[in-house]
Amino acid sequence: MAGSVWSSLPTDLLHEVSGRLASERDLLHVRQVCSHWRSSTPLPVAPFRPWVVATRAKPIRVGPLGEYSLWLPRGVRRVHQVAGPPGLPYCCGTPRGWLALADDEQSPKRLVLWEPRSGAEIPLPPLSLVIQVFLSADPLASPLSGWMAVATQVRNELYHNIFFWRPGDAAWVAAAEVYTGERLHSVAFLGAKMYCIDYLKKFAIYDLNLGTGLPPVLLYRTYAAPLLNMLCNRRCGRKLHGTRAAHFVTCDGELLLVVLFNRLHPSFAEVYKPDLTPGRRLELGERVTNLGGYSLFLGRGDAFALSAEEFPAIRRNCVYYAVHYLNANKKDWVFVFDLESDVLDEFPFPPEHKEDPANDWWPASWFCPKRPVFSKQQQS
Amino acid sequence: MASAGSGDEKAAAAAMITLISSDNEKFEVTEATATLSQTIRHMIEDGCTDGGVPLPNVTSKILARVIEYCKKHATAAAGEEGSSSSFSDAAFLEVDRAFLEELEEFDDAFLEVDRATLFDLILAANYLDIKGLLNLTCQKVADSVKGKTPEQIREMYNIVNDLTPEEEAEIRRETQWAFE
Repeated sequence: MAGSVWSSLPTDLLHEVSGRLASERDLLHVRQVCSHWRSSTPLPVAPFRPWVVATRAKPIRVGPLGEYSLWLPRGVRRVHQVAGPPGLPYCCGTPRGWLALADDEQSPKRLVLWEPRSGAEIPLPPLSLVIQVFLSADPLASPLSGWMAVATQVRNELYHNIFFWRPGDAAWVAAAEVYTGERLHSVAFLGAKMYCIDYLKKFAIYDLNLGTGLPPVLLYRTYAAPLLNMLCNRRCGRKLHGTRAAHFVTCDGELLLVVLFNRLHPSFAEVYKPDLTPGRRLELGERVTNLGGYSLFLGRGDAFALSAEEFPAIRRNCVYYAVHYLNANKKDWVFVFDLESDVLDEFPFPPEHKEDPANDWWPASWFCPKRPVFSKQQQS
Repeated sequence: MASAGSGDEKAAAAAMITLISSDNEKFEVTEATATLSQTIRHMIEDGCTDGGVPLPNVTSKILARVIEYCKKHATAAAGEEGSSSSFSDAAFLEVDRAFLEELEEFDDAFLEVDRATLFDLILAANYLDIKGLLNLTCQKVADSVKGKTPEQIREMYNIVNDLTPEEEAEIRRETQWAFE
């Protein structure tokens, strides 16, 4: 008898509870308990995270993502109701649960970081021909001196510029040295360092000099393609299929290097703990086949790791790859590769994106808001 | 009792407030303990605490628990103020950490209550506007439903399933959506 009072917990207090739920699955379950709990608990905009960021821009194009949309991983169902602030239709990055949005693709007058759960906005100085914006840490979870925004900018078809911005700076500051080229495949941050890989498999590491006021410096550079191609040779005898791409990602406090292969190779991806000591030759280091409860999400630029325990809809120990590169025939949308069993699961390119020019979306990256997102009507 | 506005710190620290539960039990607490409640803080500021503060929504059993929470956290707040003025020497940080750990242990033990008490604590924390306690208790509920099925949640909180056929149909659609 005593417990039944719970079915009359006031709505504002049920909101206090549901606001603390970290997974959509739990929200959906709470909404199925009784009528009162159902009407007092908001419905998330999607049944789970993360989502695929799709773009109108073909993967071979130089420049920002442009017009964007968000999808459940199979690309069949769109995540509606996540519309950024008005007047900012172009996306140039999806770092750390934030969307970097601009009012114009070529010469934006507004460049804004927007967090969909809280609705927080952080204006950045506008930057012409901006390609992608990255964040060294979550601005909401870091002290002002503890994070930095990084932007890439088109220089020409092959090269890009890199800019840095600290909270409070009036303008972006250009990197003194840039080694990587346009079409950056991956940027990861760990311990105030930034790790970059471009499509040619050039690696560059910057020390961000966070909290010092000094400009970031390029610490390390190497052309890794020969070493990565050797992997293929080692596994396939004398045949050399070449590697598809390489991505850096931080997982549970460690930097990992994911090497993606072409279809002829025995496995789709291999994961290493690279030795990147400046002044020493690049070593791939220990190979990792068990990520614990984590899975890795790779796309154009941003990469992150999620724990399957916190995100019940994902499988553990897998590499989720949004096919943002070498995808001219629109065959595959997302690959899910199980590191333990070596089994590759392919989500085909959804037919509606293939056949209907009005619905011509290309997978580019992943977006994972920090917490479940509710539609605007329900937030009140 | 110290006269209001005397500005004497010792007198202010010693100022006592009487809280009166719904079943008419009186609790003497320091102002520092009582003002963890924003509701009571406002009453003190408005000068309407003479003769005690009646809390008709809180029973003596729950009020005793709430006061236990506030006493511990008021000490913590005083400790924090003290340490922030001193230099952040490793030894001080060590003390701070030990204190925070102790506070966490206290909170964990504090939450070892039955569901009915937890419910009353949430209502009291909300009524008295004690942010820390509301956060703690609502987080406890959120943690308790993590990974549970609706049926398990109903059992845990003794809730009767009164969903209408329309709502059941909606839920089937939602479940289908969740598996796409």
